[in-house]
Amino acid sequence: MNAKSPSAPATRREFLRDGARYALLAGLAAASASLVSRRGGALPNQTCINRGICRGCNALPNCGLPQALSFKQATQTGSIP
Amino acid sequence: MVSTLCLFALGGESPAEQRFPPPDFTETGHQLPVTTTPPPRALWVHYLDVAVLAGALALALWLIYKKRSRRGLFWLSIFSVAWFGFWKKGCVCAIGAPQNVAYALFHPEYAVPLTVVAFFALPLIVALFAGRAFCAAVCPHGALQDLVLVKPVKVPAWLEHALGVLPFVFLGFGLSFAATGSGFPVCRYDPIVPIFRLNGPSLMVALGVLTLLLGLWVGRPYCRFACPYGALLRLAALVSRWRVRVTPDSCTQCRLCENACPFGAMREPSPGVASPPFVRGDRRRLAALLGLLPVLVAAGALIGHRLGPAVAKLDPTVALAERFLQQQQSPVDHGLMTPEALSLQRAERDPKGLLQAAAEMRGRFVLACALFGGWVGLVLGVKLVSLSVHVRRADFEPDRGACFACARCFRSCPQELVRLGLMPAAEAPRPASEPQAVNA
Repeated sequence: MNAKSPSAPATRREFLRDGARYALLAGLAAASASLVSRRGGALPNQTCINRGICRGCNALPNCGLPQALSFKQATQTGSIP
Repeated sequence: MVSTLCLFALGGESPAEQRFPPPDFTETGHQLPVTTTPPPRALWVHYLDVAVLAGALALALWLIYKKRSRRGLFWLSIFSVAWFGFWKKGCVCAIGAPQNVAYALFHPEYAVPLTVVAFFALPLIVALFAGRAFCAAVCPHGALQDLVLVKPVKVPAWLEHALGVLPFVFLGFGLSFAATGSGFPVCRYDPIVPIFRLNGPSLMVALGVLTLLLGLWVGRPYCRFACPYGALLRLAALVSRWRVRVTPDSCTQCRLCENACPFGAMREPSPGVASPPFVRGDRRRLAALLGLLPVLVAAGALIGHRLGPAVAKLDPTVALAERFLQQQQSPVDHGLMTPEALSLQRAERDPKGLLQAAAEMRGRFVLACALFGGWVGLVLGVKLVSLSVHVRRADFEPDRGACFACARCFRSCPQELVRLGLMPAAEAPRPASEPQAVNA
């Protein structure tokens, strides 16, 4: 009997397609995992907990929201005292 | 009609947003009210968004592959427009999410919310296995355009090929500018989101209405000729494990499915085996185009690098620095407190910091433009190569990348009608390999 396994790729093109698919999937998974596991993730889902007011906010050191980043940059450069 | 309603609905709010600077009330002593910000959404709402996205994707897959139901996809489209579009105001949006991801990959201090990562990754994972199910009825942008399509017209193949490059160009534009921190242009120039928000810059509102008007005749114009996330999904769908098939069993090559597809995604069977002289000519052309590819990339990167400083002037910081230097060289008293005069006043407080920030931003723009130019060269080169590669097809079948899995073609196939019991088997055309019955 010369039956092929149903999961085995039938042609060279399908083999290459399978390889590309799983390579892309691995890349996507790695990028997603790296982004989700960032330090900023300590803040629950990076949702603002202080109505957009960064000064005096406890979560500021770990916050990666755009407004917090702007605030940190502004305080570092001295444009905000 | 929908577009006209949108235009009327948007008319009242759009101009109000752009009123700047605020009126001066120093004489009357009127206090301007403090701007309030809406309270943040609860964490469970974010998880609900991800769960709804996953559920909608699963439902779309079931409707496309198992039920093969256009009607089901129609109702799912209405739900997506209502939920992800008008209720969620088009945010979080999978189309803009790649920019957040690109920015985060190059800026370790930036943390992307879990919802953004999910909206970026889930449709792509589905596309890697089952094609563009997200575009079919889950994406609110695509669903809205699909719903307004009333009288589809065919776009000529040459125009389809030429315009089909634009989503990849827009993708490169968005990613290179986001990665270098120069801006998020995909969100800024999204024409559909202002429709969902019933608010937005006048230009984008007008573009959105025009897109929907065009969409009455041209199927999904934004998805086909502009959507950068669609370009990513198209690439992923090219290697998908399963794909949409028009006929449940055998193709009779009746061409009915070709006419049923409003998006020009149906591909006809390839003509027989080409003769050796034609094959040799094709191979020589392919080799020449492959050799041209790196040249196009290098030329694009060089042109982008040269254009970088000019493009950088679009950035507010760089533009302010330029105005500041101009003011230093030839001082002009504006007198009135115009926005320009106010910004120059702010610039005079810390000129060193402003010039440093402007120089940094200009450098980022130059890098982004060089990357973008190289990407455009790559896209054009790959498009030329793809046009000279022949794919063998035995039957009519949807193009893996171009098919939105909208399910319109299913009911056009006589074999499908026979399967559903809507047509007697004797009336259906026979497969091309079998002799057709002749009426006496």
